[in-house]
Amino acid sequence: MGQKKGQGSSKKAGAKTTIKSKLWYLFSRLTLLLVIAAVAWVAWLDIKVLGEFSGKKWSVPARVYARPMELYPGATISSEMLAKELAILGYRRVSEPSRAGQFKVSGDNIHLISRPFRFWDGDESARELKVRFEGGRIAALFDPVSRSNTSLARLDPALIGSIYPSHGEDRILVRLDQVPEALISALIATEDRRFYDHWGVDPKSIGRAFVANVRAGGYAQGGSTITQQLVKNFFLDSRRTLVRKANEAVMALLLELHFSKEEILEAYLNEIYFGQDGARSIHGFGLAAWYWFQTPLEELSLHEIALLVGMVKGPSYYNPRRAPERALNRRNTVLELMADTSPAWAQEVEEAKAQSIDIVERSVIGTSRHPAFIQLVRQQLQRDYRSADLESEGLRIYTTFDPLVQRAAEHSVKTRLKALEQERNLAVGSLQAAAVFTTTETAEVLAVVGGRDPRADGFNRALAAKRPIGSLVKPAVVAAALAGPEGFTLASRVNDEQVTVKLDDGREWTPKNYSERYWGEIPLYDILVRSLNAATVDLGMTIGVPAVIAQLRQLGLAHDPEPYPSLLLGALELSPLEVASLYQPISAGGYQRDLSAIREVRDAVGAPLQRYPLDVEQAMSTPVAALLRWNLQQTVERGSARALGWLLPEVSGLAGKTGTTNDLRDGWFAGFGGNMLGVVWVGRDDNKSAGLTGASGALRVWAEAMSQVALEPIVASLPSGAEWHAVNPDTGALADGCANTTRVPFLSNRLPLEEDSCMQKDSPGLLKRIFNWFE
Amino acid sequence: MNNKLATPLSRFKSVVILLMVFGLSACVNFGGPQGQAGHQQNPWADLPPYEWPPFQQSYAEDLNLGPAPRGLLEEADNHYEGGRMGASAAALERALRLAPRSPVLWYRLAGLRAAQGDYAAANRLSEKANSLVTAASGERVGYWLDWLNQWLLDQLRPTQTGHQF
Repeated sequence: MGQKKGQGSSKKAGAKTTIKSKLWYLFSRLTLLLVIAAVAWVAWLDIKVLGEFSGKKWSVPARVYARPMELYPGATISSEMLAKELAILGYRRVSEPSRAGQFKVSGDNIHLISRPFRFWDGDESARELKVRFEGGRIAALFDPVSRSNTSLARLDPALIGSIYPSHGEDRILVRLDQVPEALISALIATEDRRFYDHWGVDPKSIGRAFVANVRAGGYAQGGSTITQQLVKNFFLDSRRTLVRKANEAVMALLLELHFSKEEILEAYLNEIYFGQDGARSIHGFGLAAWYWFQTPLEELSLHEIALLVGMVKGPSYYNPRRAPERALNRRNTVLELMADTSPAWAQEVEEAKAQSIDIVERSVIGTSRHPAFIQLVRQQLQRDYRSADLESEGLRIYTTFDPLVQRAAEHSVKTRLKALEQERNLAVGSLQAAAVFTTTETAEVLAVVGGRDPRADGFNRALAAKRPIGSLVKPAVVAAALAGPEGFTLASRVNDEQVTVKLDDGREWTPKNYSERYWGEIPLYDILVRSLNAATVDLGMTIGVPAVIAQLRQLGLAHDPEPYPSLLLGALELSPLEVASLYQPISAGGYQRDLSAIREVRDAVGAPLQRYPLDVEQAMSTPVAALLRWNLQQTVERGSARALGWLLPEVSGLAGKTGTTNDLRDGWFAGFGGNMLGVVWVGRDDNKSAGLTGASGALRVWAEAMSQVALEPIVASLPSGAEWHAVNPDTGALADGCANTTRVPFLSNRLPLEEDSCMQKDSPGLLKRIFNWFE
Repeated sequence: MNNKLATPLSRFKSVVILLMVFGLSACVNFGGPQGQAGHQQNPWADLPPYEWPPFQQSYAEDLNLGPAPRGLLEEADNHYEGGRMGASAAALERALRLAPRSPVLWYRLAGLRAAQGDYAAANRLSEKANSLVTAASGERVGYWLDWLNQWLLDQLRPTQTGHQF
């Protein structure tokens, strides 16, 4: 039995063994498969983690910077202007500057510590400066550290916008060594106390979170480590499923395996989501600092840091603009946690808790405050860069933008149009305007206003609205006459009488003067001074329309207009930007440069990519440009633009021309001083009559804008090749040394042939003057 | 069992490693800003660059420049001597923004372009400089400008054939 039993049991045992071994076999195979699957899964996650993380290249939109403000003794910068610039830059006004990005205003002095910045031609380090002002200029720059005067200092350029795709992530990358210690402390205290001790997943903190949640009777605390949060942001969607949690944990472990704590922390700081701003999403502490406080991350105070750290938990729920109370409470919680974990902060935490929330009303970057200018930058960059690169490669674009001129121009458009509508009983909001301001000699675009609402990122009238330019074309007619073979001088007599021009198609054209009065024989310079249509057509038909077209082309007109006589009165549709490019050479002694909005481009790490060098080309002879400039100065002094005289009494010698089209549809003003040129258009989008002439609308906008910035007078000296002479205003005859004459500039080789009877004998002889013509 | 496992896993490992290598290399190839502008063909490229005249400190006082642009002019010369042409041009342009009607600065920029071999630009810029010389400034800085102008003309002379100078 025993045997049997033994046999039976051995049989049984044999069967058992077979089953057991089969089961074991199955189990081992299954385990093997599971292990293979697990390993494959881990390996796959590892590839994902490594692939994504080691090659991580954030998509960073191109950043656009304004021109840096140059401070030097003699610069036409008032203390108000510097204070405004510093505010735009996000410098803090404090009682005593102690670190970069702070300033103090006291009477006629501004004490500041500038931020370091890397320029194309070298680094500008942070420096302490005491700036003294006198009569709207910088009188002295004093460096209190070296206890010496300094001749030149450059502020960092303001960040004015970015070129990001219509939907996408926006961020400013920061390196860990740029990040304030307090931010790291606050972040670790709040989000992951054992960050430096765990391997990516922290069972203790999960346990603690669990207990806290049970106690709170709901979700109060997350158990996710910083590494897990980073994984979640990087690779996964926000669903809270078990599989996702498991993936997250494994990937966190893998991340910790391959990368250092510092690398993980840096990635986290740049990745973390801070909410939505229209179509773009705000990522990373670098951009968050600008977005909420308009300041670099390095310059944030403790209470600001705590506010940002508090938002990590729920950027929308703790949004300080929408829920300031909630954000404040959350901030204080962060501060308390911070004091809890490291008592060293206790003192500062108490001070920080007393601070109120102090965020900027609206961010200056990203959703650009200056879409019209950014559009011009984009247009100019598109010649050299692909859109995708601009939107993702983190390029840095250094432009010619002057925030002070832009503000003045925007403000002027807004207030003047409103006032004009009120004064003239026009429908509210019916008027529109566009403006472009540039430098004269260097042809750099300082400001662009695309319409009444400067924030609207829509139709940019300054670049895209092509309107007939009316009388703004007249200087080109006069220039063509002065340079042409017919021998016209500014004192030549021309006819201002109603003339009828026979057109090629047999029709007749009888242009009229605006005033419908005709002045008969007038000096040529009166064409511009009084903006006389009939005389312009008389002169233009004498020199020929093609000569005027050639002149316009030389001044930079990009296309050949139709050679109709109506061109002489401005039947030529141009945008304000195009008009500015035509006037720029006149303001710069005849030298033309394509209006430029960009100085240089650098890559994401600041390495130089491209410069847009200063180069000029002669568009008209310098003496002719000087004559034309004088003529336009006369237009301001006593002609159709004389309103400038009382609108801007403090700046002498301005030059300009008004323009008005049929039925008062378009009002223009193009004018310049010594350093700046501006073109303003005022009209209506529906092209109906705006009821304004160039002088009553556009000129006023121009004047108000220029009254707020450092417009300089024109230095009136004639270049070689031009000279002053007295003429008899009634005949145009040379009258040097006579009484009751008018002083007019002439080309040295083209003086009037007639001499007034009163002329002294020692004047240059007629023969010599005739001879001069052939020189 | 360990032995049984070892084989497929080690096989798998190599696949993983291969995949990882591919993955990584794909990432490495990802970046790099593109879109630098192609340089324009420079018809004077085959001409040798010319010597840059030394900054004449003794004339610096007579240049009718404020201390700020004058400092930048000296900075531009330092960059030039260190072979940093881009920085030199940037410093000169910066000076020109402060004093855009100074013939000396335009001359200096023209000289830099000539030294870089861009004679067409050098010619245009020196014309601009000439146009800014007035009777008053001419007297003041006449000698210095004459000298620099003559130097530029010497540089440009060899290129006169076939080009519009």
